[in-house]
Amino acid sequence: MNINGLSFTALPLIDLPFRFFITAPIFIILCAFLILFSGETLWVSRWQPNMLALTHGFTLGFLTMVMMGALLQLLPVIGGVGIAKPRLVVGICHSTLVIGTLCLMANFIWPITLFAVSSLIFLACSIGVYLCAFAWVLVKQLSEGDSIIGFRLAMIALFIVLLLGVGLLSQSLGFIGINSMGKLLTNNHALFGLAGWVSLLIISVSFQVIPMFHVAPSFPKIISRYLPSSLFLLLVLAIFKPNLIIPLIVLIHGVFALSLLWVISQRKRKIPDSTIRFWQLAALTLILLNIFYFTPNEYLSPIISQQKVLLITAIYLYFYLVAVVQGMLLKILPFLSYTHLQQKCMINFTAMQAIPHMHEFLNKKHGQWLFYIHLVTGAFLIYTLLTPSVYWVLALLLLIEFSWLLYLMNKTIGLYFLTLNKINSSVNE
Amino acid sequence: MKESLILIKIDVSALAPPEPMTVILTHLAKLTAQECLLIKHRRQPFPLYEKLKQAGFSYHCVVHTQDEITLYIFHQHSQTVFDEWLVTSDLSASGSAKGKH
Repeated sequence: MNINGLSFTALPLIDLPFRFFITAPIFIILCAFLILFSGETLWVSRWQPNMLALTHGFTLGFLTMVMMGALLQLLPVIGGVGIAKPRLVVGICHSTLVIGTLCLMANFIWPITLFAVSSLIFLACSIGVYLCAFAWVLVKQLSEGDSIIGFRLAMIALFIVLLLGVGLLSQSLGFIGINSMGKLLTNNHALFGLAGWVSLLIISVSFQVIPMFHVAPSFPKIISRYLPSSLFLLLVLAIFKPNLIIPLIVLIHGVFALSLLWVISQRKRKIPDSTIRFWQLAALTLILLNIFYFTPNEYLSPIISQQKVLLITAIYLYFYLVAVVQGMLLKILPFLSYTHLQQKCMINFTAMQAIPHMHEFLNKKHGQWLFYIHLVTGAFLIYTLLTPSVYWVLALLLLIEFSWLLYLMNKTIGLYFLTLNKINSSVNE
Repeated sequence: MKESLILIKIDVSALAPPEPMTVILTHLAKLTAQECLLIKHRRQPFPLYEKLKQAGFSYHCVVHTQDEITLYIFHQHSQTVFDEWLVTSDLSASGSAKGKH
């Protein structure tokens, strides 16, 4: 790897990724209220307007929000370079993503032109600026590591998701006529969003963060080199032959899950860790989803086979994507806080005494509680899909889980700034 | 080290973040101008590089494999001594990164 000549003034200030992280659980809290006030009808079909608002709250408001923030820090740590003008880019992307997602959710619930046009402009601006900022780094500056190739493909998937989303919104506004292809575009929008942008990024990130944070061996070369490209290729082919290709996309997730479990089992220090539990939960979910997906409908009860697509999507979203993102947050929040504070001490090494222990930034037990609440909430999500009358329990559990996550984040960030003040005053002495 | 730099060897390759950085900084706090810290690590600590320069240190990194690197850190005014040693060693090959003031 040739890194001569690269700038290492790349690690952005900590408040930039924190801004994305702290906003993300607020969107799920909003979603919890949406579930509470929508009632049982929300769960009738995936095409329910409030259900569309809910899924975009989860995917844009939570998943995309966290992933955007995480990439800001991951690229400098993994590749040694970051985006140019990070404060400006983050200022634009974060604010427009928040406003755009809120407008989009509002547009599904109360469809008026103002909301539709606003969401179109703000989301295109947010994702467009983000893609441009990262394209410059990913195309020009970084080496050909396996994770970096995965990041590039995830970014292309995000671009496709944006294009399809803009197309669908434009159709709803009457700008273009794509009625005959509406369902096809929606399915591909969802497939590229979940299995492309978020899953592909999670898979590529896992190749780096699991060996790094958990002192585990690297993923088998055949997996890290070929799995992201194969998944992306299958997503493209699924546009033309969905019935033939989607089973292969499910299978490739199963292959990733098995390799993930293998790498985790090989780690040198098997210390109990909530992040590892979230990764294990995600891997087991993908294996069980394979079994569920390939089980013929005649072996399933009528109520389950009727809701099979919705169940698979909900389980994939909550027990895989959201689980991994929560697990990662539990790891990177204290790590970033600690690392940034350590770097402040390079001017005065004695100030290192002021830095609290890692576990003080995020108590291990508090992380475990989040994991258990996540399991219970996920179980109630499945139960609600089959018995919609219990929707209010799910809403309350979501409220508890993500308020707890928000509290943990605030506590970590609060301790970071408190310690920073101590270090700054000791440096100035 | 041939002339006056004494190698202080540490292995942080089996430690989970942020322990490697803690160990490195603890040793840097005590590193004298006559010493060079030799660190065995699993990956390049990119965010550390910029701060090293600001704190008056130079570094030289040798990438052996994807999971194995050796990092040398020394005071900037020991650069000449380190460079002389580097010429006589086989470490100036490709796959290395360095940061001088």
